[in-house]
Amino acid sequence: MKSASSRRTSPLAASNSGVGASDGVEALEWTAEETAEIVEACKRGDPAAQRRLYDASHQNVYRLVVRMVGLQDAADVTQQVFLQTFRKIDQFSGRSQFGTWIYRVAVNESLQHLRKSKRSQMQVLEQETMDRSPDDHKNIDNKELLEQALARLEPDLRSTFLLREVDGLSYDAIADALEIPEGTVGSRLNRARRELKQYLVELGWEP
Amino acid sequence: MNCLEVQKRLSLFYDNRLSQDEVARVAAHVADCSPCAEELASFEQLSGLSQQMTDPQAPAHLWDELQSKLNQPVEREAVPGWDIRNHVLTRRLALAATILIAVGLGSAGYQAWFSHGHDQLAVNFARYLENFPEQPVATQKIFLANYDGRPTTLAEAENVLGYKPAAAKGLPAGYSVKEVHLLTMPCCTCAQVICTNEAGQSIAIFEHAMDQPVWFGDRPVDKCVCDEMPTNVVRVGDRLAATWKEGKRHITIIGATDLDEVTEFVAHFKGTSAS
Repeated sequence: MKSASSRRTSPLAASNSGVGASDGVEALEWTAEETAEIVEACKRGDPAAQRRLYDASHQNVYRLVVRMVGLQDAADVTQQVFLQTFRKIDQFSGRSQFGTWIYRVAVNESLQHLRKSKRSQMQVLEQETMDRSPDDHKNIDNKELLEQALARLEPDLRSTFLLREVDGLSYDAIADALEIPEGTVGSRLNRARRELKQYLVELGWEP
Repeated sequence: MNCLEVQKRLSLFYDNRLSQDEVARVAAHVADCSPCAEELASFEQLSGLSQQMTDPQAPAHLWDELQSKLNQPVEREAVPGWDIRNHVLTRRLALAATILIAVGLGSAGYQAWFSHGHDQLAVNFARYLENFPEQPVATQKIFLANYDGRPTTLAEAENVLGYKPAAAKGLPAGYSVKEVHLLTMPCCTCAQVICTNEAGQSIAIFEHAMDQPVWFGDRPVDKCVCDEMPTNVVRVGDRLAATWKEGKRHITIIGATDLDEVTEFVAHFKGTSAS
């Protein structure tokens, strides 16, 4: 079964794969008191607190958004994520971890963006894939193949897979971020992994 | 366990989400089954590959642009879970914005507000459609939290809404009311009834003032005629959602097994919402 692995950017919320375990590490690596203090300051519109929150989370948000909507629109959507975060911060009740809440905003903004530009987005992704000959595939390393396979995945499956495998969230944190039952997290991950493997093989992956 | 049973649980096994008993049964199968063992190995390879992906770096100018937008005046936006007073206020703001549009002012701000609220509704409803048939309790809990769901009775709902909900006049034979809620949706205060049939299958019934095509998002809609009533039907997994106009209001049901079941509800509610 899965073993612990190091991550390049710290997750906003903790990973914990144990049965029935809940994520216990503080969002954004702050203590509960620090989080409450910064959130309260952001509610008052304090620019220093907003900057602190942005600095601590924008890289994670941007990484997720790039893979949800594509590089071309990622900066605009990320900006929208933080505008919504700061403007709706009054709605943060503290029932979720703050990191989970930001992921929720990021996924919702990405899904809304995809919905608005669905047709053009699909055309771009398909075109990129179709333009490559089998010989080209051999020259692409496996990481790039995974990026291409991810782009083919349905957005709901993609967000679930990314939150689990790239951001390292626990099942209950993903359920909270995506506002879906935990059982759905498991079924989506099962589908995402199997479809990703299939797409990777179609793209020339040789495990 | 056979391969089908194991493959359904493989992600849960890989992520250590099964009970000890199930772990032992899956492990025993995988030890003797090369296709399932290969599938499991591919999950591990996917995890390894995911860890190796390069982190895209956010542009350095992002904060400056964000800060400048944060300093601009805030536009009013639709918020899930708003209360009735906010709803009335927002309707007044929407009316004010509409008047501004009529004289050629402020149309961009209004459209941004309208579009964002409806996009959020589409996202929330897409999740509800997808998850309700399989996990009605958990899905319903999340949806109620988003739309200020208040448990009520059909009699109380009639007092609040000013009309008798269609379900107050009874359900088709074999169905019983399990829960009644009032929801504060962007369109109106909406009555929602969860009913179950004799097999225990749940169906959600929404009664609302305006047509809500946004609820079905981009899913293909089949234009059907059920008991002589034009009815829009969408397939979600192996279940159906359907909406039709009944008198002055619209009824939407989610979780029907087939078109016969949709027709049964359409026929039953016919004429019930004349008031």
